[in-house]
Amino acid sequence: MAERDCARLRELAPELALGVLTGEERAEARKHLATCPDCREYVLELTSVGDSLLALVPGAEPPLGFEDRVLSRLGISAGQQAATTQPISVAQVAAAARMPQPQARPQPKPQAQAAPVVELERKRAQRGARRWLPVAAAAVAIALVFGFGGWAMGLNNQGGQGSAAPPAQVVATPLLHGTLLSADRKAIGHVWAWPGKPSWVYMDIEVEPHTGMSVTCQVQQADGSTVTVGTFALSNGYGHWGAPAPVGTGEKARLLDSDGAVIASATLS
Amino acid sequence: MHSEREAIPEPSSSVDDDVSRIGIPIERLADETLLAGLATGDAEIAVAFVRRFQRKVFGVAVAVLGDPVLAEDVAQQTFERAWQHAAVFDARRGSVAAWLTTIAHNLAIDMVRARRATPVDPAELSTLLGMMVDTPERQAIANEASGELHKAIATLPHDQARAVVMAGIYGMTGNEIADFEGIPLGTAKTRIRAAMTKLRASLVGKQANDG
Repeated sequence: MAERDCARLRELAPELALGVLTGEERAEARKHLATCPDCREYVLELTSVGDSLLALVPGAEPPLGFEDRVLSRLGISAGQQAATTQPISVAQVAAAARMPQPQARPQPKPQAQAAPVVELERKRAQRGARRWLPVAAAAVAIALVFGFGGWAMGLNNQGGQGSAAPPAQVVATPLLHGTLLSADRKAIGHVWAWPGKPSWVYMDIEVEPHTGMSVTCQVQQADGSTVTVGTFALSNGYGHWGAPAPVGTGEKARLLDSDGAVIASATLS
Repeated sequence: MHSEREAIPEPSSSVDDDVSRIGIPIERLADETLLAGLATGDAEIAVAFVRRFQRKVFGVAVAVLGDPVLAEDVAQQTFERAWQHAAVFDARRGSVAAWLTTIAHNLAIDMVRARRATPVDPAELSTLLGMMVDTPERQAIANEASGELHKAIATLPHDQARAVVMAGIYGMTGNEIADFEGIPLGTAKTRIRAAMTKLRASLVGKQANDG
């Protein structure tokens, strides 16, 4: 009986995958898919074929002014536009995740908690080469290192009547963050860590420039053991880097100079 | 097979390179990085993102709708959806371009169905099919799965190729294809199924060879 159901599904699967199966046949197919992983996989493969077909459709130049109208629709001021040939650091996007955007009239901040971070921002602002933007740290850092979790194609797209919104998949694992503090409690960077699978760390750091300086990242785990994650180079005192790493809440990340001296550490929370 | 889909791949070399470099031009950022940057609301990143994908997105929309005004609306909505949903993009499930074109396609099909418009002009179908089989952009797809699909669709019998384009691009049902072609419903369904089975075999075969 099951084999006959699978055979029937194989008949319907191409139309289902292309989103053009309707009525009773669609209900029949979906009912079978709910209990048959092999047929689900088959439909997913066919859905992939349908998606690849779209890549064969030739591109076409949109009408003049399209770009401006899109930006306007997104609520992004055309006045903010700048030449796109200017180099931009990837870390500008990622590292700025939790940085407040510079304001015309800076608001006083509580000195007790924010002083190290404010100092770091001030230092960066003096460099003037980077723009700090308010973004979602989790989303950006994950994307930069491993990609986001979850736009579901395939079975979610087999409704037959078109499903315009990209289906969402909630990433439940929270992103951890810690400010990298030097021995004299100055903020010299940030660490983000994601304790999911695979777990990873991403960081940016800015120190006094030393030519050819490289730093080593270690994670101090809850059981007291230390794991060396890797070494990366700084350019003009600045660098950003990410790698797979065993991390969890309450653990510490620390950076060592080439002599093995700890130059900064951060508690992840 | 399923576990392979669930496996999280190593970061692509391009993303890895981006992370390790400093001061690279924004145009050279990986697609995924640019999409992530879109969430910042920064105009410079948004412009770069739109410029990179607008031809692809508008091309799909205008192919389905056949109307530049409606197609622009769909293309704009596509970028708006991408901006709103950037955080749920999953690179494991496909490229940014594939994600965007899928959104654009779904929106365009929704619009066609909502307007109950004639889904396709016979001349446009022939033109589109010809371009898909022998597109000047084939060099650009040479490294994608669609490159294999391009070869496969070119070898399909013409009636099967038409059927799969009508269903897969124009979103036409078996009944609509049967009416359009003046053939029995069963024949329309058979053509779709035969075409899709062959196209799937071309992609699965390539994956097997690559693996």
